Amino acid sequence: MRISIINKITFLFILLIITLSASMGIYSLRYGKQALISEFDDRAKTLINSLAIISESPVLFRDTEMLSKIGLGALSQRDVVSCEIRDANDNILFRKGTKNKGCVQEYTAAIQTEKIGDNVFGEGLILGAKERKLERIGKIRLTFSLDNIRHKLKNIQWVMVLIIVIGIMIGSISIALMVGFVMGRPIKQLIVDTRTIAGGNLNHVIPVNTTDELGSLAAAFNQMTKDLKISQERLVKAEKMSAASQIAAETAHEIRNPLTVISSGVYLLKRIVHEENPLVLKTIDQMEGALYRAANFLNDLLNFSRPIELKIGLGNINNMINSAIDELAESVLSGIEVEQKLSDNIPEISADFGRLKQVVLNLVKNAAEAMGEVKSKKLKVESEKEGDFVKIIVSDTGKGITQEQMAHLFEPFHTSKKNGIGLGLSICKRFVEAHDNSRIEVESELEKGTRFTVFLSM
Amino acid sequence: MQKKLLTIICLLVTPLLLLNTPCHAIDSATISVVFSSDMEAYHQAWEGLNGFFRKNGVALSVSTYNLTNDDPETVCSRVKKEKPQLILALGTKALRLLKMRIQDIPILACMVINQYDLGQANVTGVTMSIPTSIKLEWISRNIPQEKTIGLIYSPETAELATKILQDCKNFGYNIIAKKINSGEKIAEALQGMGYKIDCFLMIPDVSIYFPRSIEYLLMEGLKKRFAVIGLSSFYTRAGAFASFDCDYKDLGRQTAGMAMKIFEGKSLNEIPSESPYKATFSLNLLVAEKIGIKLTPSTIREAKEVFSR
Repeated sequence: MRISIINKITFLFILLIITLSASMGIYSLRYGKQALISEFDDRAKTLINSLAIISESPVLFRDTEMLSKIGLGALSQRDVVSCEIRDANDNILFRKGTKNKGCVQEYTAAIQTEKIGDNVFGEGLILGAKERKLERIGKIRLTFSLDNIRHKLKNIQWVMVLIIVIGIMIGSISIALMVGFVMGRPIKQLIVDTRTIAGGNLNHVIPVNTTDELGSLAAAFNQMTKDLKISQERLVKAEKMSAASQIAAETAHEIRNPLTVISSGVYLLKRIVHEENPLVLKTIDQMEGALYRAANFLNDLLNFSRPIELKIGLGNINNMINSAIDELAESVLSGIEVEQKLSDNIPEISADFGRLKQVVLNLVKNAAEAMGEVKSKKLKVESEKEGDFVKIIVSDTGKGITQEQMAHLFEPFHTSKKNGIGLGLSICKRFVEAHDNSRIEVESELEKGTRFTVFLSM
Repeated sequence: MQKKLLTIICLLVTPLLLLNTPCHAIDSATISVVFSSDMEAYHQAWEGLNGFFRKNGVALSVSTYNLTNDDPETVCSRVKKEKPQLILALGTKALRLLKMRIQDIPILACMVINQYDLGQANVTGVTMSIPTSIKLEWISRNIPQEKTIGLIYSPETAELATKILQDCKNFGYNIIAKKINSGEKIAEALQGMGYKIDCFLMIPDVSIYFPRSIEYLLMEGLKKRFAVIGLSSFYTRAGAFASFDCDYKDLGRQTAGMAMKIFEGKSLNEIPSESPYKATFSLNLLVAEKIGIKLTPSTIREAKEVFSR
């Protein structure tokens, strides 16, 4: 049988209440019993001592009438069933009542009188000597019935049991309700939420309504889910990358050789075809263009799939930028206002300039494509030195990048373009970060433009 | 002061003679003083005696003992060793101890009650027992309607009772006397006397009188309307009609007179024991009213202590 934790806690609390109530009940009962017995004892002793005192003269002077009054008076007291008064020689002076009436208790007190001390002589009587001695002149015995006190004790016992039972019931119900409300509900909710998450919904967020342990647990669950989600995404991405790299490498390898053959063929064809046949020439040019794009695509694939091995050399960043702009001037940058603002105080740095040029080419191409549909097309390429870094800045006045696109901007195969395969920026990031302490950053504002900054460590 | 003091009788002219005795015959003496207890009355008596000698220029060399704290054996052995000219026993307890152990030194007793305690060759002194004749004379003078006197005594006080009986007869009083063995029988004894007695004379008998029996007697007195003559003003305050007292300093001075004679070399045989020269009385007017005794204003004025509302 499966017992829930709430039931276990409730059971424990109830057990505790029962134990406490029972202990208190037993203690109260004992205390009550003792108090009752003590009160009875005190009353009996007070009564018998008082009787002993008032019996002194009657016993001393054999005043039987008074003794009878005292005895009858004693018998009229609650629980007193017999009274007996004797003198010093044990002669009975008064006796009445019965002792054999249920459970009884006897109390005896000596009747004493004060006599003049042994060391006091006649003159002591005259001078008022204080020396006294107590002489026993008799005794009084009272028999008390314990029936009444027993009856009272029984009543107290029942009342106590009743109070304990009611107390336990009320306490148990209260505890059950309280535990159910305070702990049960949040735990149940937590179970439902964790099951939802366990079901694969990593976007589910457990509401944190309290600051107690359950709240902390919920928060920990949320954090765990978030981490799990990130790990999962990374894993997927890594797997995607691995698969893509493998495909890219194989594809590039398989296509590159035929393309080389085709390219050689087209080159020969172009040389043998007569210049007067423009249609063929045009077709050959188109074929060359297609081959060029295909080669570029293959290069991208290879760049992406191959491990990066930097060919470090000393060089000038500005020269590299100029070379890249020149390379793209006619094909990509036609119709775009290009501004170059290259700083003169940039020192020569050690870097793989081939890779960096590829970065600049990609960024410029990307900027040009981003400004495809805008009217004012301005491209700005800058270089400057900032601390230990040399910065290359490529900015455009394109449509900008949305927040959502920004999150996946450098991911491979992620593109918003119709013709792209989404490797350009990913390759840029790989090439830049392959250099020690270097990075690439992007800032963008919708409808205003985007700015890529490459930080190269000197 | 004279108003309050009643000089009933001067039994002897001795005090005057004593005062006129040429004290300068001796100028110093040794004395051992033994107190029965720490009761103030003993100290008052000693003060009276000591004052007498100071006044008469006799330097006393005194060693003092108190049986409350001192061991009786030690007291006796020390006194024997000191061999004083005189031993002063204050109270019956001291007297009985000393007369039993010491027979070769004169013992002068003071503050004792029974005459027979003084019956030994080396013992004399002053009792504090006021003569019955004084009491009876006062009764006849102030409450002449009293005719029958009650008395309860025990074997211990039989001798004293005989003397009282004789005195009563001499004064023409009827007397109903009962001898009992213990105070418990006082009720029975008083029952026998019933309403026959007009006056009851208490005697200093410890075997009869103790708090409850005294209380019973006083209650009976009120109930049966007889006048209880107590033993001291304590009794008057407690409910006796009247009581006779003596001044303890006077007793001391009276004892000093006898001591002087001893120091002067008189034989103890020549110095008989004495009773107090002076007696005072106290009255309880509430009791008097209750039992229907009318007292004259002069009687009330003469009383040393008067207890009323």
